[in-house]
Amino acid sequence: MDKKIKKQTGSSDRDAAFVRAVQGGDMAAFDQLVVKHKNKLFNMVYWFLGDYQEANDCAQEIFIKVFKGIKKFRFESAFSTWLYRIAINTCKNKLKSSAYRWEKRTVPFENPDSSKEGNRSYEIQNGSLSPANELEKKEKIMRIQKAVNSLPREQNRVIVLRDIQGLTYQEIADITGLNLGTVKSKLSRARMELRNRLNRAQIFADIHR
Amino acid sequence: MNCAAILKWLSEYIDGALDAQTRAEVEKHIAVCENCKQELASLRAVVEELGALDPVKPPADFLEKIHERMETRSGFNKILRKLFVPFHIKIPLELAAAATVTILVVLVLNIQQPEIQMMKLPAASTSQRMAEKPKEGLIKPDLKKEAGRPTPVFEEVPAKASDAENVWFARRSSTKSVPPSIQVESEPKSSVLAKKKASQFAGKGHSIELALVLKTGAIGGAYKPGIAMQAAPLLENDESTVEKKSARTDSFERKIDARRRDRATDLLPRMEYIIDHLQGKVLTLEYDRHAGQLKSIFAEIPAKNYKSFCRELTGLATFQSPPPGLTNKYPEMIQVRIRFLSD
Repeated sequence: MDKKIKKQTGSSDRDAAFVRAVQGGDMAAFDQLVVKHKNKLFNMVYWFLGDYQEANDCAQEIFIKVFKGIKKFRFESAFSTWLYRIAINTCKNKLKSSAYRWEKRTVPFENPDSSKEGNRSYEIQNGSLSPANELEKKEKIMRIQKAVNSLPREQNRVIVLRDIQGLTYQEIADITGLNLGTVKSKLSRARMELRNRLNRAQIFADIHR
Repeated sequence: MNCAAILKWLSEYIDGALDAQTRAEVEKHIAVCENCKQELASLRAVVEELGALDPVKPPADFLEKIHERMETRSGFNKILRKLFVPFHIKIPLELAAAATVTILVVLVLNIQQPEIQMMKLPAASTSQRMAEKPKEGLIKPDLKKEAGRPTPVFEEVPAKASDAENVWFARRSSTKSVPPSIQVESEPKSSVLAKKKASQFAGKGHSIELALVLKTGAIGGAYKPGIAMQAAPLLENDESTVEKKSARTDSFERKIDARRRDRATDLLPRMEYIIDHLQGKVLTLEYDRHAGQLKSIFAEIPAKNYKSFCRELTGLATFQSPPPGLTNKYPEMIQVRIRFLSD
């Protein structure tokens, strides 16, 4: 089964047009770029950082950095690639500076109180959750979120870019600066590790039901 | 291909990223290997679960917040940009300007300090003030028409008056002097003019020139007995020498001459006493305005008291050259000009 990978044809051409307009001083074109990319970017940043408020602050900062540096953009890569590079670097710096908060957020699966710590996870409040399966879904999402966030940084990065954002191996290589073989091997290990952690969490949850 | 090798390819197999040959080998193996089949299933489930997650959306005011943050930063950044951009031009210029201002401030302060010190200097002694006081070139004695001895312009008693001088003053106050017959005006600015004024009196009697050398130390301490009484006429060019000296208006030199000036002005009351005591009178005082010094006294004394007069003078200072003697042709009253010279 092939993974359905989302691609927007012609998207990069539109992006290039907007970028040229912004470089010419058109603020409306910048707004268009923000509107077009904010959802995907925000989602990615959220899965990198694991906290909604942090993701909100960081995503805004990323777009501001894009605006400041857009005059230096030379169209050597796709705008989205450049945008994600900035996003990853910004999130890296944020995680370095808030390592303690990151550790606090990553609750070990053995901790019986982990299920009670729902505040950070359920700040999402995205209306896509079905009311009928709300509790089960919430628990499931929480487990996945914690498991993803608990992965080593580079594994977390590649699995979010590939399995959550839907980017290709080559796009991931362009954004992260890793070579293609490294991306594949890291992704393979990340998926296995995530599977193991989710299995452990499931077992733990089943025992304490 | 064994299980370990197959497990490495499962992730790419899930993504459809294997080449045809490798894919065929994987499919062939998992068809017969239950463990690898379960492994594949679990990995695929994880990937599907992640792919099925609903995206986390930003808040509705996301774009507004970006605009707000940009506006907040832009004002500050404009200032910074104006000050520092381009760096390679503005920063060196600003550093140079700061250095220039610092140097100017230091220079101004250094220039002002000596001026401030100079302004503070005239906590001068009374005698120095006395010497500086007269602004006119010629000091006139404050001649009083009523009975009383002629008093000089320097009304103040010298601050450094010693006990000996106090005796002089006491004597002075107890004597009465002949009121002067000549009123002297104050105009002339140069000593040459003063000399001219003095020459007006020359016709009334013979004028004898005496030169006293003022020495450092106590007044009168320069007495040298045994000086022959021979004439030592002053030359005209001595006046020009005085003028040259008087041209020095440097306050620094004024300080150096302050002590000498003090001696000259200190001599004045004594001279007046001597002259008065010998029944003479002071006609004019020559004051060098530029140098701030008392240069000479022109007085009239009875000829018969001339020797006594010279003797008194030797008690005060040293004659530059022996004073001239008098012959019989001199009238009853003679005019004497006593010049004060520095050693």
